[in-house]
Amino acid sequence: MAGITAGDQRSFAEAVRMHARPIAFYAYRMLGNQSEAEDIAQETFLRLWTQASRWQPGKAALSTWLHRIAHNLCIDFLRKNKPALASELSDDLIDDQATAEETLNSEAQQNMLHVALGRLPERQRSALVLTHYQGLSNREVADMLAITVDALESLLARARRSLKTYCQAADQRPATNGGRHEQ
Amino acid sequence: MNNETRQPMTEQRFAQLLASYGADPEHWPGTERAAAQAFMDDNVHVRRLVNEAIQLDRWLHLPAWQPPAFADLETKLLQRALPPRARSLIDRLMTWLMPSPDLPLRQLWRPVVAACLPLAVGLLVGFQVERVPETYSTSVEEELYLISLSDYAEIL
Repeated sequence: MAGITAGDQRSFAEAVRMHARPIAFYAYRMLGNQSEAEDIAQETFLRLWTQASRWQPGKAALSTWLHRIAHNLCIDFLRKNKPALASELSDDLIDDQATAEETLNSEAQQNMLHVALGRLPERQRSALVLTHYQGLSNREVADMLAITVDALESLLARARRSLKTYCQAADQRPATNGGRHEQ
Repeated sequence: MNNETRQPMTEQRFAQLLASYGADPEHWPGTERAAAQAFMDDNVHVRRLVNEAIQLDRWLHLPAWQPPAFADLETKLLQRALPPRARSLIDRLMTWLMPSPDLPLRQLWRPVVAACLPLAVGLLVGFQVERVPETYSTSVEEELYLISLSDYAEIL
């Protein structure tokens, strides 16, 4: 990281090789689109290059810092490109049963899983993806989302409960839909 | 309440862990993992909760959730030209003082800088001290004028 701060492109390339794929995976799970996920990864590493001196090693691991940048970019993207989504994102407004019923109209069972993840409020989705798939600790994720560990656990429990409802519906009734997350 | 302070493991807390993190102990908080595993081993009746959580974990690992391969992602990222960085004077100074770890003899760099620093300060102070008398030195004309004054005083 000192090399990147000093403008060493070999150090930057090493960081890209180590962290690009997890960041792209995270963005993909947040946005449900490969091209957009690549754009987010691109922008994340551009910021690593231009803002490397802002990273504080004592505060967060490089991987966590990069996830934080990618997370903020994903949230910005979702809010800019899907303005109607913002009003839906309040965790309390999600009606699990109703959304599960809507999801039943989709065509493919596997794609239904994408729909299910896409229908989670962004904070629930971030919490679930970061802890379950990206391997970050609950403390790191809580810091990233600026919430307490207890609040994180509450988000995770709600996310899993919602997914369970969707997935049970999917198991009972195969359906199809496009691969992209529905928003 | 924080995770670090939760003791001992109760059925309620165990159920909360399953609800939040699933049934895979690898996903449980490190500070509670051992206690939760021991609780699970000692309490057969919580198996139903565990099995329910396992079912959702299986869904989460279906191929449909897995991201695409992102072929050549690293190459694409590295092919893009990196923009020049506007670096402050302090940044440049710090980089000069603390060079990249790849630089040979970097281990010697800081002791050398540390040893040279007092020398540099000494030289700087030395130059300043030398200049002080020059500021107050009198010219030849001034000296002749002062001598003439003293001669005039003797006459009087």
